[in-house]
Amino acid sequence: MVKLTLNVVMAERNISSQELAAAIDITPANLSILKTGKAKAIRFSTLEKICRVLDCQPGDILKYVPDTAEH
Amino acid sequence: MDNMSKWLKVGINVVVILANFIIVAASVGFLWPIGYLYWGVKGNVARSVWANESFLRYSGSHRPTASTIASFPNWPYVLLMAIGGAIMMGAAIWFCLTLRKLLKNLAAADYFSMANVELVRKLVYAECYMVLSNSLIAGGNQITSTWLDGYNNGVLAQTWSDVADSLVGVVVLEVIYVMYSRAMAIKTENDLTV
Repeated sequence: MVKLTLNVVMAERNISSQELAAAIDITPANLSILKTGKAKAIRFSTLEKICRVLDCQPGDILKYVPDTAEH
Repeated sequence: MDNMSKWLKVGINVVVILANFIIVAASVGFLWPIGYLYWGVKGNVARSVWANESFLRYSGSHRPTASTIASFPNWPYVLLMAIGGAIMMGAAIWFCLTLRKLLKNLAAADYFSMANVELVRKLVYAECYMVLSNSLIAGGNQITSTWLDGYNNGVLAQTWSDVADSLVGVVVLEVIYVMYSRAMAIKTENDLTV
């Protein structure tokens, strides 16, 4: 599965959820969905905004973790 | 658009009133299964059926002979009608209560929710009970048709064609349920797309 490590990058950049939500123009509720891993999908436009604001690459906030069953 | 929703609300109110009426009628309808059990306990079920004003004879049919009355399967008939009738009344009440809840949700503009999916699933189950009850009652009515050469024209007069009708109802409701649950899944995925 693909995991979002957004909270790690946010901590490194020392940016709060409210600041990031305002900067990328999404609701705090939607940002919470991203941070808690409940999101089913992420739009390219949202990904682009996050990368621009946090000055990172998509690979910095997305991580592939193999499922346990695949081992 | 506003005009359409106004008519939708009127339609929903009419169906809710009809559902309420059916709930009351089905509650009273529990007397019929009790009546069949009373016939069974009293004995002479064939004579009671024959004498009942709701029992219509086929043209040219004759009064049943003593041997026909003696061979009439009293308790199988009574149990089929009583159990079938009780299940039918219960299923009708369950169906109408569920439909009423669903329509009230729609009237409150709560169109897509897991609660509504669950209510549609309950409608499918209630309709399945209708198929079961119709089968039992049709079996009971088949007995009177075979032994007494006539048919029930009153309450609990279901025949095999009613079983087929209710099966179609199950299929239609199941299709609605599958489509509605798929729509809910799409909406959930959309809600969780950021």
